[in-house]
Amino acid sequence: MSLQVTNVKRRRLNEMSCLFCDETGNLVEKPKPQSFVNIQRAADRRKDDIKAFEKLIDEIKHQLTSHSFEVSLLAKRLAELTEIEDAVVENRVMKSLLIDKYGGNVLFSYSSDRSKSSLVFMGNIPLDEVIEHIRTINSTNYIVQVAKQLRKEILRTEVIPDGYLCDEILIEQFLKKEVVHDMKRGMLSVKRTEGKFNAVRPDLALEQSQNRSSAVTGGLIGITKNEEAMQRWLLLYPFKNSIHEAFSSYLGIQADSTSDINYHNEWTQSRINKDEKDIQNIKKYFNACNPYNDDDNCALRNIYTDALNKIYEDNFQRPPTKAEAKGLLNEFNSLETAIMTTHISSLPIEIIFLILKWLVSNDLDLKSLETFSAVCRGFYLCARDPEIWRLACLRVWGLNCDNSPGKYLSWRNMFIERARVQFNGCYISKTTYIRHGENSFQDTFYRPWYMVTYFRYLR
Amino acid sequence: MSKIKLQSSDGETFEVEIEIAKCSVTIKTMLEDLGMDEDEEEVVPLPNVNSAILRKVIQWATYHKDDPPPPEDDENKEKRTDDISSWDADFLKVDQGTLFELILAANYLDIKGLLDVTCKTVANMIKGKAPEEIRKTFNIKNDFTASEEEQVRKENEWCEEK
Repeated sequence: MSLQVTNVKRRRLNEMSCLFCDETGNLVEKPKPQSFVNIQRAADRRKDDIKAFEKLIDEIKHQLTSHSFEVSLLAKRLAELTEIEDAVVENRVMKSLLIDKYGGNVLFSYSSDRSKSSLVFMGNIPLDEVIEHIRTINSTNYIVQVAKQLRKEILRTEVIPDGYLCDEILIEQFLKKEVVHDMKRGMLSVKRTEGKFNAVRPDLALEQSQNRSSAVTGGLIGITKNEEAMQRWLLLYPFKNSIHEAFSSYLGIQADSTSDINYHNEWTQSRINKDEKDIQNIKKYFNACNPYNDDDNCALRNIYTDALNKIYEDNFQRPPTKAEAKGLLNEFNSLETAIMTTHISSLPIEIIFLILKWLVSNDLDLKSLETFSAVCRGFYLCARDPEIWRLACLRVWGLNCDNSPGKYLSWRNMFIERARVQFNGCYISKTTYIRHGENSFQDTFYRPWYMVTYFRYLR
Repeated sequence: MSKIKLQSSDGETFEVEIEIAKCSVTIKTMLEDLGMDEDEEEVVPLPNVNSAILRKVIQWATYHKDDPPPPEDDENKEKRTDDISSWDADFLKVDQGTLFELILAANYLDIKGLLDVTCKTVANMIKGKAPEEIRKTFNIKNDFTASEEEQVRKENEWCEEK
């Protein structure tokens, strides 16, 4: 019993020396035995067996391709084996994580002659390591076992030509169950088309389709300094928009329906409800702002002295008492001192509004307006005038303001509550995105991803 | 240069050039509507303006007679309160009563430039002051009740520095 290990490169068997494994598991390099002619002769001798063998080969081919198993490469080899031309075995059969899982310990053997076995190694271990692997007694025994079984159970003969034989039963018998299972499910490779030699590792297939979709839509694959490629990327705003769209749908951000010209949102039930609500709110607002709806029961109040003019009402019934008269007199006096020089209260309300507009002015100094409102009742009413707040809102949001403050009830409320750009301080925008980098040709398993973060400062 | 006579509320008459008088839109439209002859010795009565104020208004108008006409009131135009010229600032160094009367006169006579600059001055008097300071400045009595004052304070909380 001997083993033959060949490299991934196609080499004719008769051009190479072979590794032989003796009974202790040591590999010995020997010249290739002159066996092929003999095999041909043997085949001639046993034509029935050859027919059976060929049938078997076909079956295997079918099995292998139907399982999308990359060993379909082997099937070709096997077909060629009947002519005993190119009995080369690939060592690079699988390089998937699945195989890694089994420690690369997936070994096939087939007998080419009673004197030697070829070896198929599956797993991403370099050839040197394969040889090293075979050195260990366990795997040698394993191979030997498989070879023996192949010969005994399937060929049932000692003189059948070279051939790779593994029907399902055998595989199940000699391979680990999970490997067989994965093979059956075609998990070890992906066939893109029905062609023969196009099965690829699943991860490679994934990567390829990813790259293809990226390249087709104009994206970059990896990092590049290729100007053309970069230009292509820059020109791809539609593509970026589609990314943006996808992100917003993923994040549940609703698109602004008002931006759709073809969409009229006036006639929806919700809009009608909203309008009705607005009217209620306006009513409420008027009720709240009505200066006559006072606790004082519409009593007149002296604007200078703040005295309620109850005395005057009483005057219709009875003459004022001394104290009341004195109060009246005081009131008159204070009134006179106040009137001596023109008081701010003599300004008509339009002028006050003008002044307030200047007060708010360009800097939107609503703070001054608010302190102004805290001075007295008259000023309070002036400072709450919706017009001033409307102008402020108009300045902030421009045409984005409707004709009414809408859900904010009042312009003032809108100004306070609606999110707006502040004019003092500094805005910092932090942007983060993920991009993937170039995968090297040497190792397609390494795919770098970058998280890019940058800041924008705005004053 | 033809002149026009303006009569203040207390009977004093001022003779001013028509061009200066015309910076008051009120007088301008009046003259245009009535089609006054320029050489006619007519007196325009201004019952809402006393002589002291009218004198100041004329002083202001004379100084500003060559100014370009003030731009139309535009809500979007730059509104700044710190661009009062030094002459105007000096001119408006008057007591509050005079200032308010100037505003009233400017409003009545419809002199936009004067109205703007006086209103700006008042706005500057208010700007940055605490309510109590404003009250003192303008001799205003606080007529809020305690609860009302508290409510106003609460309403205004939003603009406090955080």
